Amino acid sequence: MKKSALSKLMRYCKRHFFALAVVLILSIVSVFLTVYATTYLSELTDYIDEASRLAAEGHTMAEVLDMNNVVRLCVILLGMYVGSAACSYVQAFLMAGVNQKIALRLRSDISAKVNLLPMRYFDTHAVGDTLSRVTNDVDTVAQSMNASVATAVTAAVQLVIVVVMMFATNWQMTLTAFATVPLSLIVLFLVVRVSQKYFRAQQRELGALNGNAEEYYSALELLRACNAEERAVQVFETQNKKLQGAMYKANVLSAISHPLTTFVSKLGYVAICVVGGVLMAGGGTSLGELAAFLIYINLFQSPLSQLGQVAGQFQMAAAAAGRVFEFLEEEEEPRETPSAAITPETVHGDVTFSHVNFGYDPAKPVIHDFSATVKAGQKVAIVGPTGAGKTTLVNLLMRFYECGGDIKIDGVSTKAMTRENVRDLFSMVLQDAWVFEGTLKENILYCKENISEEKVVEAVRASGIWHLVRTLPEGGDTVLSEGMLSGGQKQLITIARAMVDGAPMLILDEATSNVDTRTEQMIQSAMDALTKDKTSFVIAHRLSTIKNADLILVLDHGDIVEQGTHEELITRGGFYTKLYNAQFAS
Amino acid sequence: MLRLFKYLKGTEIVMFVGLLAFLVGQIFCDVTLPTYTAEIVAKMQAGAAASSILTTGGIMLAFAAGSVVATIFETILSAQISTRLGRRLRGEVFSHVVHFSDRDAMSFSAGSLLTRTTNDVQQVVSAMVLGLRLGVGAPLMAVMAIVKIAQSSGELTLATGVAVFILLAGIMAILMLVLPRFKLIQKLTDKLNGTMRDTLTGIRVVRAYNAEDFQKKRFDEASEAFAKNNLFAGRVTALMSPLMLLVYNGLSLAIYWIGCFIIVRDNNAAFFPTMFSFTQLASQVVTAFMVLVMLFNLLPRAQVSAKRILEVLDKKSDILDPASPSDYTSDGSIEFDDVSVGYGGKPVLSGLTFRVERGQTLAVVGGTGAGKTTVLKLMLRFLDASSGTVRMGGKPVKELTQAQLREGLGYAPQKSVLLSGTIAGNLAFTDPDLPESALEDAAKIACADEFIAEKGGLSARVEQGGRNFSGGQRQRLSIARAVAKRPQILLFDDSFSALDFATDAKVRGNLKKALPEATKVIVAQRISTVRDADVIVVLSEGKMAGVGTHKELMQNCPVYREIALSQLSEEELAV
Repeated sequence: MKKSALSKLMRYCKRHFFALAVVLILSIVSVFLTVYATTYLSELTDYIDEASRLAAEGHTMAEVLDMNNVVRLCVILLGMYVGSAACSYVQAFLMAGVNQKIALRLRSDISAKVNLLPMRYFDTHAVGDTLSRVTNDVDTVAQSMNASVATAVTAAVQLVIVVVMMFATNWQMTLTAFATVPLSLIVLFLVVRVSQKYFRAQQRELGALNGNAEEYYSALELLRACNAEERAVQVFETQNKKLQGAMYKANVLSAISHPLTTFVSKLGYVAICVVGGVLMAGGGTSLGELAAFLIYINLFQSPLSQLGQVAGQFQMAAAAAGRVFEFLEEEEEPRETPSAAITPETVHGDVTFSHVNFGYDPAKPVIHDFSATVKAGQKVAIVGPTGAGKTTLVNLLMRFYECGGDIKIDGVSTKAMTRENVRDLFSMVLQDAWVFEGTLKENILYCKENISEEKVVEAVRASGIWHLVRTLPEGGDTVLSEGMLSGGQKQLITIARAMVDGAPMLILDEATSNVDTRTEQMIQSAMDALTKDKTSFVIAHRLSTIKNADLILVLDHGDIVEQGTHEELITRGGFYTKLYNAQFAS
Repeated sequence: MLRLFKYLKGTEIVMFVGLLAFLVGQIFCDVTLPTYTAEIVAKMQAGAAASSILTTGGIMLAFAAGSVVATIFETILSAQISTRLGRRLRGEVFSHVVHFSDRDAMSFSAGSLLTRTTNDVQQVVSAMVLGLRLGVGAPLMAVMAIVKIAQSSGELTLATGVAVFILLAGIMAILMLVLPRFKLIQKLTDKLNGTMRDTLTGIRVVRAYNAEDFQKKRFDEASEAFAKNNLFAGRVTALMSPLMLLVYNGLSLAIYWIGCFIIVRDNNAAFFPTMFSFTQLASQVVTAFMVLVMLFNLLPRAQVSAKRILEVLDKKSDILDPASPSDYTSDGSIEFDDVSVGYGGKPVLSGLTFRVERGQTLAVVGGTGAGKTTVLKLMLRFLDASSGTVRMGGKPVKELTQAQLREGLGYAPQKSVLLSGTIAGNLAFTDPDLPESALEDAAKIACADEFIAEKGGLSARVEQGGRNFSGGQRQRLSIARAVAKRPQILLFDDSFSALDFATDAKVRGNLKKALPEATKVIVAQRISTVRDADVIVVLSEGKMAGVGTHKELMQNCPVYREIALSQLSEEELAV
């Protein structure tokens, strides 16, 4: 799984092949220059050492140390260092570009994917989960790619070049340097093993604290009303203390690896000095070589610890990439091959349901065998107790889900049209009033373009939010944020949106449940004017509002149990009458 | 961010002083180490015996060990300081949030408060502690190394000084370029999240309006701006490490170059080992600054977090308790005397005047946004009137402490919130010492006893947010919680809306029977719920459109008549 996620990520890298190749070459050049420069430094050291030996034999330093030679070597070295730094920067510059482009494409693919997923996906996945894939996971992938790929490549290249150079310089000192490697590894291994346990404890306590705070933060009003603030603080503090303990242990244990590995590297440093000194006494090495080695050991140890870090980051990236690709590979809605189309301008408005059946879970049908005929221009009310399948029916009409049986508009099966076409024919207002983070005006216009100012004003007045527009600090240009509007106000905005949309048919799914009855009546009359001669489907809690419907479909357990007008149904004295009378029982 | 340092208390300051002591010790060891490198080099040049070189090696190792031990102590101390500080800040933030006034709480979303309590505190604390340690450590290292070098050569000191200066200047320049971008990135992250959240939560609407492309465009715009700024910030920060390496290498070269010059000038070959050890010293100084850069990577984010934390800590509640509260015995009455409320200069409610006595029922009806909930907030003193007086139990609310006032109130909010735990824990939330019998009575009054028994009694589990209860059940538990301590005044904010008509009527009947002495305030939309009230206040767009009984209002209040007729027929109303 992890492996495949990374290989999928590689596909995204493919189009940046050229840039990545340049990155690789530049990092090799940069590392090579840094490491190879050491030989010149070693030459310089030997030259000075040699000169001081000669000086000991009675020459003055000025005679034996040619400053021109020193300057020559220094200039070569400076050139190499500058070259290395330049390559390393250009490499990082390119890598950052590649990374952001990949992240951008991943995000864009995800947002395109959202539009292709069947509704079923959203029923079964929490918003927070999908959201964290889009942002956190993509970010993690991008960031760790940036840090880890570049570091891994550089570190690996550096390791190889340094080892080669070390052996080429002096094998005894090389082996001394290697001797410290297992020691470092053992230290790291032990620390990671022990600290992991404490990190898990820390995450657990943090989760508990988060849960605590989240719960209280969503019940602030209650805490205040019940004088329970101090009690909440006590509960929180108990957990807070536990968290502190866990964090302390995890912190210390993970941080301790740093001084320990530093010590190991210093051990290596001392060992090389000693071995080098002994060798030099026997003429086995020169001071220049020793100087070079003291640099090599640094260049040798740093990629080792970097590779260790990178391994951790790769794991994180793989996990995050796995979650991103899992989302991108979710099954999509089947592609459509429309054989018919109805334009909003020409639609008549006859709707026929014939033997419709459906279940969110195929094993548990919600709608069994639903048939009904609606004539153009009728106001149809769908009523029934909770769980009768009212909203499901609307979902099927909008083709949010595919059903068994058939739904026809003007005699054309909705399955023969594109989903987009079907949805073009309806305006819809839902119980959950949805308002997005944008200005009030944007919320009303939504995706519609070329709407005249008058039409917007008309909708605003008809939907009863004129008062709201006036009280907002910047009127229609106020950016709506969470907590700014009441549920009822939000619903009115969605109604205004539907009015602006102006599709030939209308669906109101408990559209006025958060609105008081007086406003509801006002909206109802606006809606009636809007839906005049248009087919409309209304689901309503308060039966008084649908008394004037042309057709009332009474649903129970997914089947039509009665249909007719209010008067017909009341005289029949059946299920509908019972429902209706229940409202006034007091 | 500096302001957050004042949250460091005595123990931590002592710990910090200890940490500094260990830091000085560690740096002393680190800086001394190269001196022995020089000694070894000198011994090697002189062709000394292996045992003599080993002795020096042993001393070096001792200093290395000293440095490690000091570092371990530093680690322990800084972990102590950071976790203590983290805990204190979390506690402070939490305590501030639960003591927020209504207006404060409205200005943050629960999610954002949560992030501030945990993630933001974590960011800030780790940056602060690392900052203290490295912010002191790196300059100290530089100073001690420069002093060491200065003992033998002024020229080399100058070279080291110049290198440190270039480093600092480079870091500052990079930071100045990057910091504003980081702030922008934080904002864009929110925007990115927000747009996607909108699409996901409104997926049915998006599809119904064929607005998929519209949503995608909004998201892609945010995404591109985000990528653009990230790219810039990334490319600028990427300058940091090549710059460091270049300065380090350049400094080593300069030491060689200048060293040779000194050797020739002074004809002093013995300077060579010293000069050689200085390159090691230079590497330590630069490494110290490299670690400091790590901190600078953390800093921008930490600063944003610090600001977000301070936003919470700086909120001063606009609801204040009186300086010298007097004794209070509620007489159960509620009186509004020409009360007006405004948000930011715009009136929400104006000119409210009414009064109810102990045991009476007050109903508040009116349209969406008419200000019904605001009336209850005034009674609870979640909000202060901008003019006029609210008297609860016979006393102006501003003369009571909030605790005194709310002690005598039972409140069932519009949204029935349950906390995870047991049913008993929820019902006894107003007072944990309530006896079980009181809870059972309350459940009976709220018609909640039957389903509580089904769930397994008062000790049955309540999941977070009350997920395992239906809307109607949650509402009944919320009502039971409000009545459990038998307060003098009960406030119900649309608390009967999810109940069917029969249960609604039954609960209200129970309330009347079981708590005849309690004054009841009911905000509702159903006329059937409020028609029996002793006083009905009718609100329309923030103004009082009428006050009186059902009968009176039907005759003289057109707004009330309209509401009533929209729900019930003439005949039904006549009953």
